[in-house]
Amino acid sequence: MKTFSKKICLLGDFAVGKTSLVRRFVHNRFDDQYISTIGVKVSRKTVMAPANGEVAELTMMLWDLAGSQEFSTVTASYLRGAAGAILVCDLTRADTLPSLQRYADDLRKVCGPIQLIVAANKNDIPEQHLLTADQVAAMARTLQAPHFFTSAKVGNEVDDMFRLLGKQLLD
Amino acid sequence: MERDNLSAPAVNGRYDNEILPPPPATDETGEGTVAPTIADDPAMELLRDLIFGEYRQQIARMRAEVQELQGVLDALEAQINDKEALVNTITPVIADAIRTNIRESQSEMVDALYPIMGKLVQRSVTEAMRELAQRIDRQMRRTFNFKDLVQRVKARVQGISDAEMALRNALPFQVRELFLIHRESGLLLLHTSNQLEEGSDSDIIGSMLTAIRDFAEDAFGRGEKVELNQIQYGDQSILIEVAYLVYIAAVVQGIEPPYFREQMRETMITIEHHHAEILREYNGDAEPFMASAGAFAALLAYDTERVAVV
Repeated sequence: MKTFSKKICLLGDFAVGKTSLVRRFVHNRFDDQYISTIGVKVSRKTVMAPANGEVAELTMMLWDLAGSQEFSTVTASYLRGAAGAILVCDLTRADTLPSLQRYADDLRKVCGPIQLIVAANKNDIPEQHLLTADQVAAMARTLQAPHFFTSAKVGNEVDDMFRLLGKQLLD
Repeated sequence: MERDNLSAPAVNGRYDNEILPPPPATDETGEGTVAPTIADDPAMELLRDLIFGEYRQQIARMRAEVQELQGVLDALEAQINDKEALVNTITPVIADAIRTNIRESQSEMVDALYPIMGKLVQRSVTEAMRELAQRIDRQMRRTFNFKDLVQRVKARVQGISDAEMALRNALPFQVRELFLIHRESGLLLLHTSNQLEEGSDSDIIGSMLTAIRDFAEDAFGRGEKVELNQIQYGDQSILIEVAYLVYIAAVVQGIEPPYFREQMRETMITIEHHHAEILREYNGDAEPFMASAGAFAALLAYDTERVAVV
């Protein structure tokens, strides 16, 4: 069986749930404190995905980047060599959606063409939503990326999202 | 105060009959009227107070003190039985006593500790010297090497004696782990270790190391092309050598010998040249790099195979 490793970045504003999404998907050995010290923490998840008509083992190296209002040069260096990215917004905070365009632009500037996925997180608390499904879908269309309504808290669509990204990276 | 009502203290168990009549008989049936006894007489009580008051107060005070002491004893007993509390109580006292003793009678303390510490230090130094002697002997026995000759000449020109070079080269050194990492993505290409229990997180370590390198470069590089080339922790170091497409990180113990970094660099450049095409458009398949496992293993065994300088 062929084995591959790919670098995947998670980007989004502060407290949209990037770290929680990673935590839901992988078992971590290292402390989340790294994110607040050097601005990134790397986790790993291995999945099976089809590649050229065969099943391959894909190790996803997930770079969980600290959310910040400004795109710093430090973050830019962390993006180098990424094969895919998950852009995360918070359904309960309307201002977190337009930021995704900026993150996508920065990613493409550093990495060139890159596989993106939009994750609209905190889907488990609909009564607090300030973003509609249509707004999220429109942004995803603009970015030419599939979108998922996730809940890191209860696990909705988290696995499906990572697996689809894995599949697309090996296609 | 009437004299008849006064009661005299008992002397040798008897009342002074000359002063007071004997106490009246009591009604044994309990039905008849009973005359008050001397003991019940308030006047007698007053007299007792007058005579024994001071003693009574002293006794009361002593009882209170005894009770208080009993409380202290109980608390002490509880503390002695509670080992943790006992340690907490006596540790600061002992520490203070030792500190004071060391400060005030240093030479006495040295004399007292010397038989133990002296032997320990002596044994440790002997072991280290024996190891050093063995390393120097081993290297002296090695065959002639052109590289060595160049290095010796260089050292002599710089005023470094052969003995000093031998000593420098004989310092303990061991390569514990080696990582070959794709420079741009931080993905692990090859890993080898001499640890018995090899961890399964080498790819995460490779990525985090890349993040730390990027961070250091961005935070402290100030726009200049500088590289993080060493991370020190305790007696171990991570030595980093960077090429255009890959970099090598070596986790080592001790001080690296003069040729080690050169050897790291040579190994890395060879691998990079061999796989340049794959590395430029790296797709995440690390299998081709297994072919370089031999070169990596040689680097890992550098502590025993390294070239002699003398």
